[in-house]
Amino acid sequence: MTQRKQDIIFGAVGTAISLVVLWLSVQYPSDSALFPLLSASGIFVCSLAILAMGIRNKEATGKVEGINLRSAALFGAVLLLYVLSIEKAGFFSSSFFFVMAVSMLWGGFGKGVSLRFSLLFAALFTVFLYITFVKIFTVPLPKGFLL
Amino acid sequence: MFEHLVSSLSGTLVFANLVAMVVSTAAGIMVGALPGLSASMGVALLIPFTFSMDPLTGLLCMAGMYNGAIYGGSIAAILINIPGTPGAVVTTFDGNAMAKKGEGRYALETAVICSTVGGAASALALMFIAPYLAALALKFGPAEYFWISVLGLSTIASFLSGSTVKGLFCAFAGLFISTVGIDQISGVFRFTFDNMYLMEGFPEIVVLIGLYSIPEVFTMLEDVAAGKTAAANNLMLEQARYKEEKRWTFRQDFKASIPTWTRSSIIGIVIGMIPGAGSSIAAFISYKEAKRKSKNPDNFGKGEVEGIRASETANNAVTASAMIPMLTFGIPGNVVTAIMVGGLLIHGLHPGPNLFIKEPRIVYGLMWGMLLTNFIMLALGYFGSRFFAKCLKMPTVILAAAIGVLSTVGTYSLNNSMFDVYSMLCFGVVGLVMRKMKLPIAPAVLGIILGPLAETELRRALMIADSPIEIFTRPLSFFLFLLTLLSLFYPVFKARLAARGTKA
Repeated sequence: MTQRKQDIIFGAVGTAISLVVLWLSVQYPSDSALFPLLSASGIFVCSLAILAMGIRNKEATGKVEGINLRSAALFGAVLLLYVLSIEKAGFFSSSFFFVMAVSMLWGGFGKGVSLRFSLLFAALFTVFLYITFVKIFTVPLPKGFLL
Repeated sequence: MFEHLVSSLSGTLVFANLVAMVVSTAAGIMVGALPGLSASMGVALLIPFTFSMDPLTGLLCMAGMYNGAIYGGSIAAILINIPGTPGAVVTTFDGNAMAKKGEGRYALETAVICSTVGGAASALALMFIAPYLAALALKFGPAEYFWISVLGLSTIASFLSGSTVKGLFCAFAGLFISTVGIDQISGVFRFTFDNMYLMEGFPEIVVLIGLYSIPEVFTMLEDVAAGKTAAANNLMLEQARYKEEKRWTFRQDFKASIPTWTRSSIIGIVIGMIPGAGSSIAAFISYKEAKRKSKNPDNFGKGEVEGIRASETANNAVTASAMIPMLTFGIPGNVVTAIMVGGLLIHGLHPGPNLFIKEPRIVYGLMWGMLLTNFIMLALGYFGSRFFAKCLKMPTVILAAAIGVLSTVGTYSLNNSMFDVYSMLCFGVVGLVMRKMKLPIAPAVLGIILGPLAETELRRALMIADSPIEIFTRPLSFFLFLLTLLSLFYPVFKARLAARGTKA
C-alpha cells in the first residue's frame, strides 16, 4: 500500500468514527458532552486534514511497511488461545504452555532454541510467577482444571 | 523544603527500599541493554509488581528501573552497535568503534560513570528546582491548569511526531478514551453502552501495557521470523574485544571529563524539563557541542571517548529533570514520566503541587530515590557490565514469550479482572496498527493521562468565569495559550522554511 492510499483510508475512517462519536456525544447533557465534543471535533478536523493530505499529495507513492498477515494471524491466535485458556485451564499451566508454544513456533521447533532450554525456562518462569504473585503479592490468579 | 528533604532520607533508606532499588535498577539495566525493550515498557510492566507495595517503595522501584534502563541502553550501543534505548543512539557513534579497537571495557566504564554524573546532577536539580516551581504552581487557577495540560499535550504531539496532524489526531484520540466511564463531576455514564466493566473507564495501566507491550512482542517475533536473531548479537559481541590495560582512571579521566560533565548535564537538565524533548535530543545536542568544543573534532565517530562522555551524561541528565513538570504541575515531561503518573494514580497519589503538601515523605523520598539509584547503577554497571552484556545472548523468542505473560498477569492483577486482559489485548492491536502506520503512541498515552485533569480544570474554569472568553484572557492563560499555538505552528513554520531553503 502507498503512503497516499494509507492516508486516504485512514482519513476517511477517522472522519467516519469522529462523526459517530460526535453524534453520541450530543446525546449527553451539555456539561458532560463538552469534553467528548471537543475531542471528537479534534479527531474530525485532523482526520479531514489527513484525508486532504492524501488526496493532494500525489507524489507520496512510496510503499509503507505492511503487516505480515500470516505472522499476525498466528500471533493473534496463540495469544487469544492463551488468554481464553487462562480461565479454563488455570493461569500457571496456560502460561507454561504459552511460553513453550511461542519458543517452539518461532524458535524453529528446537533448532533455534533447544527444547530443553525452553522447558527449563518455562518451568522456572512459572515458578517465579507463582512466588511473586501468589506468595508475595497474594494476587488470586485464575484457577482451572489444571493449575 | 530542607527539613522535608532531611526527614524523608531516613524513610527512604530502610532495608526494603534499598532492596527494591537494587533489584529494580538491575532489572532496568537489563531492560535497557536488550535492544527493543525501552524504559517506558520496563516501567509499564513494573507497575503491576508495585500494587501491594508501600507507595514510596513502588516509586523507588520505578526510579531504579528508569535510571537503570536509560544507562543500560549504552551497553548494547557499545558492544553490538545497536542502541538499547533511543537515548543511546549517539553512544553508538563512538562506543562501538572503541569496542572494536579493544577499548570495550574503557567505553563501558566511561558510560556508567558519565551516566551516574548526569543522573545525579539531574536529581539534584529536581530536589532544588521542583519545590519552588510547586510553590508557584499553587497560585495557578483552573484555567492555567487547563492550558498547561494542553501545552504539554501539544508540544509532545508536535515534537515527538513526524507529522503534527497525526500527532494531534493521536492526542485527541487519547483525550476521547479518557472520557469513557462515569463523568466525575455530573455522574453521567459516557460511552459505556450499559457495560458495567466500562463504568470506571479504561484503567490507564491496562491501556499503557496494551499499547507498549503487545506491539513489542509481535515485532520481536516478526524479527525472529525474518532471521534477525540473537545469533547476530553473539557475532558482534565476539568482535567487541576487552583489553584489561585500558581502563577508566581517576587521574587521567576525571579532570578531562569535568567540562563535558558540566555542559552535558546542563543540556540534559534543561531539555528534560521541556515536555516532548527526550533523552535522544539531549544526547544529540550534547554530542554536537562536545564536538564543536573539541581540539580533535575529526576523531568523533571514530572511537573518541569524549563522544561517549557527552551523550551518556546528557541522556541520563534528562531522567530526573523530566519529573520536574510531572511533580510540580502534574504534566509529564516524557513517556516514562507519563507512565509513572499512572503508577502514582494507582497508589491514590495525584501529581501536582498539592502532593508536596499532602505527601512530602513520598515526593522527597522519590527525589532521593532518583539520586541514590544512580550510585546503585554505578556499582552494578562498573562491576557487572560483563554480566549485563550476557543478557544480549538471551533468545528473543523466550524474551517475547515472557513479556507476553508478564503483560497478561500484570493487567489481571490490577483489578483481578479478565475484562481488563481483553481490553489490554484490544489496545495491543490498536498499538500494533499505530506502530505499523507510524502513528506516534506517546501523544495518545499523554492524552489518556492528562484527559481527566484537562477536562476537570476546563469545566471548573468555565463554572468560575463570567464569560468563556475569560479562560483565554487571564494574563497567564493567554501566555500559555500563545505558547500552545507556538508549539503547534513551529514545526509547520520550520518545515516551510526548510522547503524554501531547498528550493533556493
